[in-house]
Amino acid sequence: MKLKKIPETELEIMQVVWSNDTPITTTSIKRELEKNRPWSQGSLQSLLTRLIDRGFLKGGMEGKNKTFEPLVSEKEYLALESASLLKKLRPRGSITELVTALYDTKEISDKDIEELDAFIETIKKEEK
Amino acid sequence: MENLFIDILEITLPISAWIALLLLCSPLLKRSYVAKWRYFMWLFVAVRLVLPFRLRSSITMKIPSEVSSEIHVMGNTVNTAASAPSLSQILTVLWIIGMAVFAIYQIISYISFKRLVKRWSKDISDNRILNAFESAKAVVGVKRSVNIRYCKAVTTPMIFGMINPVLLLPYVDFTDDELPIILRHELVHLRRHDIWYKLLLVAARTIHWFNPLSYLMVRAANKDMELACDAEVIKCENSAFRKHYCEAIMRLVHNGRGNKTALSTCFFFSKKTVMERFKNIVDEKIKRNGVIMFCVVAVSIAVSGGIISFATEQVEEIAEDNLQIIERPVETPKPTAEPAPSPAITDNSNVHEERSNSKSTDNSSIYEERRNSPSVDAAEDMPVYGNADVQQENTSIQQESMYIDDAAKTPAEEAAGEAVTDIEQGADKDSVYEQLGEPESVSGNGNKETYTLSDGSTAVVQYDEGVLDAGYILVD
Repeated sequence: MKLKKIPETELEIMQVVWSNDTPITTTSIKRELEKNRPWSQGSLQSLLTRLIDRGFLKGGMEGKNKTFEPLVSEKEYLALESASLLKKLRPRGSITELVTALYDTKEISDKDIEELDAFIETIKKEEK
Repeated sequence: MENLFIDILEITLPISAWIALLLLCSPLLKRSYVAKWRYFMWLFVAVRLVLPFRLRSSITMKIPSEVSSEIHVMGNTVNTAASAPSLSQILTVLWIIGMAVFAIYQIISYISFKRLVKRWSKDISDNRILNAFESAKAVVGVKRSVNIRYCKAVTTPMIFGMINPVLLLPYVDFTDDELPIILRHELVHLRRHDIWYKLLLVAARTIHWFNPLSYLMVRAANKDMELACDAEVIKCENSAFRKHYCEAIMRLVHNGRGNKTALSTCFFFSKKTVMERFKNIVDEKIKRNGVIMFCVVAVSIAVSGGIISFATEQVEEIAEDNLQIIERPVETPKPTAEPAPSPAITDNSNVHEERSNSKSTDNSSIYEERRNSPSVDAAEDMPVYGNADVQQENTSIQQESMYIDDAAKTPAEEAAGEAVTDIEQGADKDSVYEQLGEPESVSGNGNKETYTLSDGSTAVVQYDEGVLDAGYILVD
């Protein structure tokens, strides 16, 4: 199934799933979510079902409780969200130029990294 | 309005020369001058590029000499062929479309990044980071409120937001040594309003999108901005601090490696930039800050755009006057003017004498002398002003007329379709008579006079309060 960008509320749920041990029960998800704001049981249930339909979650049972585990990793999904058409036009660095970043380049070859690492090693030695 | 593009060309051409010059000189400048010098230099260039209509008295069309002949040709055909769009109109429309495309692209990417950040960032509750942030703010001297948040969508610390800036931290475990460094780096950017600096650069490049040098300028300016920021952070810090700085950057180099299969275009540049920053950081040599140099270059850039506009303005005025006076149909513009009568000199030997007296003086005084009493010999000594045209004029020896600035003259000649020679400005009526010879007949109203000379040619001179303002000779 092809992944699609999910709305804010579903992303909130996914972030709980990603940052906790899985499989995770509905009750635990709700407890985590309510650290920020109150959630109704009904809407949480329907959003979880929708996430299963979308292919983000896999449902299971643990005793009497429903459990969920992610089918998509956070990294995978984040990559999808940031890889827009704009990203293709500007593959190196952030999507917009209007940020001041400490180091804003995504592309560098292995050989170049080796060279830079070697430079760091030399200055480390000089220190000693 | 339809000739806006011509105005832009008028800015882009002289400023391009400056960009090229600064880019070519930067390897030399880097050795002994601080990065901040170049940082401000680019700021200045960008401001000059963004404010195209400064230094102009009016927005009426002024033709830079480079394109004038082309435009003249266009103008002639347009006049006869009703209302077909002229070349300059087409170019203006293309320029505006291009500008809109680039601007829209920037806006969309800004908005979509804003959304991404909003979805993927969260507040920081870690006291280690919050304390380091507060002390870094104190060190850098940032007083305005600024948020600090974790963001999963970024791989490097950055400041985002024009009005309500947020410092975004990636999920990277920075050590206690590295944390204050990276925070200070970002806070220096914030204190210097570098996002606005970048916005200005992007605006300059958007307006001059057709000029490849504007892209090179933005790239160089971004790099110099980082170098200047690094220099500020490491100022007065010891070598251990500098070493940690390099390590922090190196960690981000590793962390930022996202898509390894992506098309590799500028690997070389990224490595070169990082290496340059490393060397800049560990280099504890004190560099000069070059305030005087900055001022000299800044003033030159400011006037170089202005002088061009001013010169073309004058030329236009002269050309217009010419057309009025001659009242002749304008013939096909000639690419080069007929050999014009040369700078006149009443007594050549006199000049030679003067020149030998001033042999030991520098070029500028020779130039002054030449303006007052031009001669063939003096022209040979002038690398800047004594170009081929002048020499040609000088060899065809005539007795009348004077010389001003042949660069400003050529379009006037083309416009009039006549051989025209400028008489030196500022002379009074008597000395004009002396130079031209007593005219056979005089017509005019005191300010603008037409003389018929003994050799059959006509001199048109214009006075301003008894002093010569402009003048030229039409050879019949």
